Amino acid sequence: MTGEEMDRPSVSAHKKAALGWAGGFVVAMFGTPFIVSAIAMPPGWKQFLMLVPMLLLIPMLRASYAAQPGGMGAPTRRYLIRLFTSMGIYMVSLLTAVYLLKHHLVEGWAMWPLAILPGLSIVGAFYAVGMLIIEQKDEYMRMLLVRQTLVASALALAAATVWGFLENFGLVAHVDAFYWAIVWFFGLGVGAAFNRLTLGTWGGC
Amino acid sequence: MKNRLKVLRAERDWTQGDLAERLEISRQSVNAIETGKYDPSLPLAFRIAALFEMTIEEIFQKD
Repeated sequence: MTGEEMDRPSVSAHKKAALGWAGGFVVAMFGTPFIVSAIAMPPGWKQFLMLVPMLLLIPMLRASYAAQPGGMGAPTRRYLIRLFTSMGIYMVSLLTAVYLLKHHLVEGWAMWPLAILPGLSIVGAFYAVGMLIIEQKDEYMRMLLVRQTLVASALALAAATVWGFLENFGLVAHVDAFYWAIVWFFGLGVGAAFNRLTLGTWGGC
Repeated sequence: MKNRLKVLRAERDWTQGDLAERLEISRQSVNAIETGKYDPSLPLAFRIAALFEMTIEEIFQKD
């Protein structure tokens, strides 16, 4: 039996687990808002229940990385820890800010840290991607990551620039600037698909 | 750039995974190099040459 054949059962099991968690994520994404709107619960609980789908992303991504031949390397593990730490701070800081503002519990200078913290936590996600590129020892996988981020940056900058002019001419609605970060993360997915189409491999983030 | 990686690997009855493990790179990297989709850096080319106890020119040739 070759090394590849010996690897197959565990890779297959990780793939099945990843699919299972992905299914759970989709169900939670659509189910949680329904449950939150249908059941009466104490203030603040609804916002924190909305974290459930995001929490399911952790085992889903862990399983999908483990499903790759060779398993999850140390740089990927550190990337996931950094990414989920950032996302955790983002969710908690945003939900806390929304709760405090909604109940008029904060005003004046205290608004500044509340407003800055969610943005800085997204910067933490950029940092996680950057550190993954730096720490990735496999030069081919690092090149795939760089291509992904180039595609993402091109997409986000192009979209922001074109939208900005359209907005200035009064042709489209205003879009808050933080949405371009979301376009950038979406662009990472487009970059991975670009890698897959041109080189046959998705890439790493 | 052309290379003889696949032939050299087959001569030793190694899988792509075996070669990847010996070079401490991913299986995807071995596949990309073998299929000519990616040309390795000079340090990696030297490691490949050292593993097969050959010179770089004996493994990699210009198209």
